[in-house]
Amino acid sequence: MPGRQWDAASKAKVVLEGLKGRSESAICKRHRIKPTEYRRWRRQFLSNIARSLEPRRPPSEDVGHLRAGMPKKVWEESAKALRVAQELIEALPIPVFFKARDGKHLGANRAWETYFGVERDSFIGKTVNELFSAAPEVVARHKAADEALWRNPGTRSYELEVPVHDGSFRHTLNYKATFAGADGEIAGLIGAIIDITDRKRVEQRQAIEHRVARVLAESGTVADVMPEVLAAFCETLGWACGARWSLDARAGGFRCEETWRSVDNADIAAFLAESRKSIYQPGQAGFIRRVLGTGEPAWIVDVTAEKNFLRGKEAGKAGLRSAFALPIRLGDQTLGALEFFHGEEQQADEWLLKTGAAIGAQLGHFMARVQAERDLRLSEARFRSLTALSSDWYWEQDEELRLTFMSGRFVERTGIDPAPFIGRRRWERPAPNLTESDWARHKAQLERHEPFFDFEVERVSPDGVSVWLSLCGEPVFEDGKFRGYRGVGTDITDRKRAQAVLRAAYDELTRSNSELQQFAYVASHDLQEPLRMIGSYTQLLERRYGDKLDADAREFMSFIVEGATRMKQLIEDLLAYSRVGTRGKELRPVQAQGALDRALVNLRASIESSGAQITHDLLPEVSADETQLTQLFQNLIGNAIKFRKKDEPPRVHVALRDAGDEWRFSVSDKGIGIEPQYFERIFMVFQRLHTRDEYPGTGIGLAICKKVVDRHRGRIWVESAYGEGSMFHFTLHKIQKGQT
Amino acid sequence: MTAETDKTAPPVEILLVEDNLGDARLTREALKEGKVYNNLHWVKDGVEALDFLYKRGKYEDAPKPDIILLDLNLPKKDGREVLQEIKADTRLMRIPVVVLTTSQAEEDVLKTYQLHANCYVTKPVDLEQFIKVVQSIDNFWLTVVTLPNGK
Repeated sequence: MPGRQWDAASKAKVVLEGLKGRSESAICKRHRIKPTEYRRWRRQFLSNIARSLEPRRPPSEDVGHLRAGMPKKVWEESAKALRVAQELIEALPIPVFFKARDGKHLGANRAWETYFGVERDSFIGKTVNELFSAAPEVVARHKAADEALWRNPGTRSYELEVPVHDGSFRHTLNYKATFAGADGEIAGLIGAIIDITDRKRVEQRQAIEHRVARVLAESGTVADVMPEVLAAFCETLGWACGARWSLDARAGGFRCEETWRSVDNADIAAFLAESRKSIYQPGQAGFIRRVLGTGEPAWIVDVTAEKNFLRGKEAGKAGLRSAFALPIRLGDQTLGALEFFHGEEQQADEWLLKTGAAIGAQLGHFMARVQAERDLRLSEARFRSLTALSSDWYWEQDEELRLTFMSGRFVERTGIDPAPFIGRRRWERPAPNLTESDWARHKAQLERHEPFFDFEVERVSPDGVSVWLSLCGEPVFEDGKFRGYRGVGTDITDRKRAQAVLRAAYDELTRSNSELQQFAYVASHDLQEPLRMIGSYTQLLERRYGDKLDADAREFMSFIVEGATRMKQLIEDLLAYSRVGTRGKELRPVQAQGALDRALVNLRASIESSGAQITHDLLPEVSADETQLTQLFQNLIGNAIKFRKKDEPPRVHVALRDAGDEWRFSVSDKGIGIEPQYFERIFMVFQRLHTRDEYPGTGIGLAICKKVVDRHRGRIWVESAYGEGSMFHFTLHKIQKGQT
Repeated sequence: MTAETDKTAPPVEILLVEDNLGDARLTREALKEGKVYNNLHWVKDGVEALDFLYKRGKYEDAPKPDIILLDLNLPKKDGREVLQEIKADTRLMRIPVVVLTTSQAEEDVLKTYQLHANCYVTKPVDLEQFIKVVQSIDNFWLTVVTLPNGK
């Protein structure tokens, strides 16, 4: 504003802007003043302050102008400007101090007092040595800066990290300007301290984040990334070394995975090597364990004095003091931790812990991504090796059901070129085994998006050979939308051929079996006719001409008739035996009790004539051919009666026993018994143990029993003591649940 | 009323369908020993049997039989087919048919075909038994012919 009248307070404000760090040109531009003017104001301001701070010449309202050698009015003006300046400086929120040419403090404002926690009056006359007694490198930097100013008066600014009232280090921008005394010589300097810690931390955090982001973007593996991340923290913040820990599921403990150190120090290297060897079991005690267990960051000011820090001795030897650790987190999960060490004691730094937590979350996402990629690769590899090892092939169909992919195994297995199938639907290629309606059913299934299994298709190879395929497929959906099918195919040609051979053998067996039965039937049938001729005409001969023959001739003829009759019986029995197989009815639930009752009715004549006593247990329902079961009881009980002892009436008992899945029936008698060597033989066709004179019969009864029991998938056997009686056992399956 | 008391009655016309000479002779002999006054007509196969029944060719003057004795194993056309045709023809279906079988087994087979023979007789080896069988056929016939109008 040209022509503006500047009073003392306004001028002092402008000068203070400069002391706070604003550049000369910026100030001049803002207030529209000339640099020469600004410099003059500053000179005046500073020398006023210098004068006011001169202890031997304290400013006096009464005589000050006399000492300053200026007219009273000028002096009063000057003194007023000085008071304003002093009030302003006192009220400034930034620390301001003055010191003399010899480095001794002349004074400071209230903000300085608070910043360093030093009582300002007691510090007058002291030097920077006393202020930073614990930080010699800070003292050295300040002294060097001051020396430069003395040599080259004017202004100077520099950044320095200094310890403050609570012992923590703060980033400061130190702005210093020299001032002259009344004699015009450089009398000292005024310094203003601007705390730039917050700005610095934003920069550091950005630096770390940028570096971590770059590392995460560039590196593929966790092992590559972690040392870089450790370095980003250590190098940006000035920490000595760091390590990453993770949970080793196989070892069941925490393991140190990667380490990083800023300086080539053998002791630090030894400490890190020790860390790498350690495996800690999960728990709450211990530094890393606490972080991994709780998922919270942790800070230790002095690791050598911390009982919970197990590596304290090694850390102390390596010259490490403070440590902090941050969790690598993914949601609620703690995947690992980073720990850092500092050579000097560091107070817990909330900012650093917060920054660490943010980076930890970033690392968690990265590790999860890496794991997911690894899982995907593994699963792909698994799929590939499965495909490589399997004799099956893999195929895919699109949503129009056209084949889009067929793995190479198809041509290897079948010798058929897959090219004509690609882009076509399954039913657009010939398959001799499938009819239109077969295909329609398959199509309907696919249109319903149902999975299908073992769908058999016959294809014909170029050289005209039939190749049988079995296909399984399942529908593929993406975000609920049908995308087609994928599945596998198997070459089942060998299986099909084997089945065909088996089927042919089975058919042949069935045919020859039925032929055999037919043969037995026809043969025995046709054998009867000649027998009838022999028997009947011999008898007719005897009937008509018997009186013309002698006794011998008649006896011979009776042998002929008897032989023919016996032969007829044998043939009838053989027919009955063959009929067990050919004329058997389907098995169905029948009352065994009913079958036994019918058998006893059929045997009534022989029971009555022999005076037999027949007793039985209550019999259950069984799955059987009723006629054959009756026959079975009849033959066994009939035998028990027939082979009785001569002097006592037969006693027969039919017993039942539960034998798990089957019933066991037993027909026991007190008859003549059987010698053990014949236990097998008696069940064979026409095998007899006695002459017909003793016991009549052809020896077919038990053979029929065995055939009947075999047909019911049961077993039949005999227990007997010769001369004491026999017990014939047979088993029948119980009726299954659901069978009625 | 029995056949023995009614000598004035016309002879019973019997058609024997039998390819075996021995069996045919045996039947004739047995009937001889029986008491029924009969005319035995003997044909040797199923085709001839049907010609007889339908009075075809040389059987133009053949009588309608009162009873048929039918063997099963015949050349050209077997007994089962003959039986089927007889029972399918309204003029013939009322003639009683006695099926002569060789074994009990054969009878079971036939029953499964559900052919409606009036009677099954298993040919015995024993002559005495055979005579009894033929006599039982006599009785059977008498029972049938005493029904009013042959029904």
